[in-house]
Amino acid sequence: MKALELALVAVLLASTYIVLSSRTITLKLAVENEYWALKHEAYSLARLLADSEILLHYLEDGVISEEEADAIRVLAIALSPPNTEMVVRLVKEYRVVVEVSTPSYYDCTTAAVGRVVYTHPLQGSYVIEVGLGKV
Amino acid sequence: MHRLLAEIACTLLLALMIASIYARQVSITSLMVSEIDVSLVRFVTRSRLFNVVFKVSEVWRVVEVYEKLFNETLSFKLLPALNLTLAPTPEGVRVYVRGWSGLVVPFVNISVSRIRGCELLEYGEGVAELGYVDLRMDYDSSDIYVIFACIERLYTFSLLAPENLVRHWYEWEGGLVRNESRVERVFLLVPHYRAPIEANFTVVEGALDVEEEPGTVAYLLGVEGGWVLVPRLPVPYNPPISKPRELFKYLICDLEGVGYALVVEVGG
Repeated sequence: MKALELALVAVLLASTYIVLSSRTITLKLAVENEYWALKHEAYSLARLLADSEILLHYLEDGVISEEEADAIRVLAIALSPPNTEMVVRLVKEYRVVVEVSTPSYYDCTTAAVGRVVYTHPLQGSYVIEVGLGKV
Repeated sequence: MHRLLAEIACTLLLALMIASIYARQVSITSLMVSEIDVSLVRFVTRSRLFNVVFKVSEVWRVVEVYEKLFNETLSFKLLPALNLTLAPTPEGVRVYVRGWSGLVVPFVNISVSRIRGCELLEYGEGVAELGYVDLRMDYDSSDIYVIFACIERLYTFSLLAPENLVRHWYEWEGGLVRNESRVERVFLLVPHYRAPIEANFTVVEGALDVEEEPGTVAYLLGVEGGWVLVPRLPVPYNPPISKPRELFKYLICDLEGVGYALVVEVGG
């Protein structure tokens, strides 16, 4: 009978462990899937911004004014997927030329970044970085 | 002896009961959630939706994969990158421009061509500075309207046409138009141009092989008794199934060197 009791305790412990770990795994899977979807979305938006040369249009004179940064923010927010927080960075030679974001981006629990290199024939190469996240 | 057997049986029953409760909990709470997410991943992988730049045939293939394999498990929409709507006003028409999040997209160049048959009746253009632009042209629901929106090199379009003029005759696998009635003339709708352009075509195995211009989004076919519109892309594709949105991404559909921005929404 001792053996049976021990076996019962073992079964109980094992099943508790399985349930708890499966719940953790599910949570991780959900986060993983959310991250995976955000990464696809961020990359596609970065690619859209690069191919359409929207951001580079503001860089024709080489300087981004406050008004231009606001215009970029409005445009990027309008194009970003519904119910997501976003950040857009334009990087040239390791220097961030423009960074615009929604106020809650840095409070996101999950976020993914998509990067695209765009080479302008006259102005050189830029990295367009789009981060999308969910609070 | 009987007592021992009864005790063993009771213990086994208890263990079985506990196991079944836990198994049920695991199957209901966890595995169902993973299953839904897996079908999204499988759909994206099979339809090659992980790419951003697509050819015409690849866009149709995405729709085909969805219709064949995932139309019961997922919802799917293929739309222009911007939400373009046209409303008649006393002075003409007003074109509204929104992102799909519902927010205003500022400073969008808009042009609208009003077409009847193969002829351009009216053309208007302007800049939607704060989400709309008013254009001086008449509205008639029996005409075809080509709305073209661009911001720098972000191009997108919307075709508005009465249902009785639209024919889904485009065969994406061969790039041919499988006409069901005799075609006399073919015109192309290219949103970058104001008016439809006449195109040369040859008949290949009973279908039309049309010489497209870069950026052709639809064909106007002159058939017996009038004109019909044959869209080249399955846009908008908006089946009634609605599920919570899981993926919202942009595609660039390359039509002989001209890229039109589209949006894909997948729900699961």
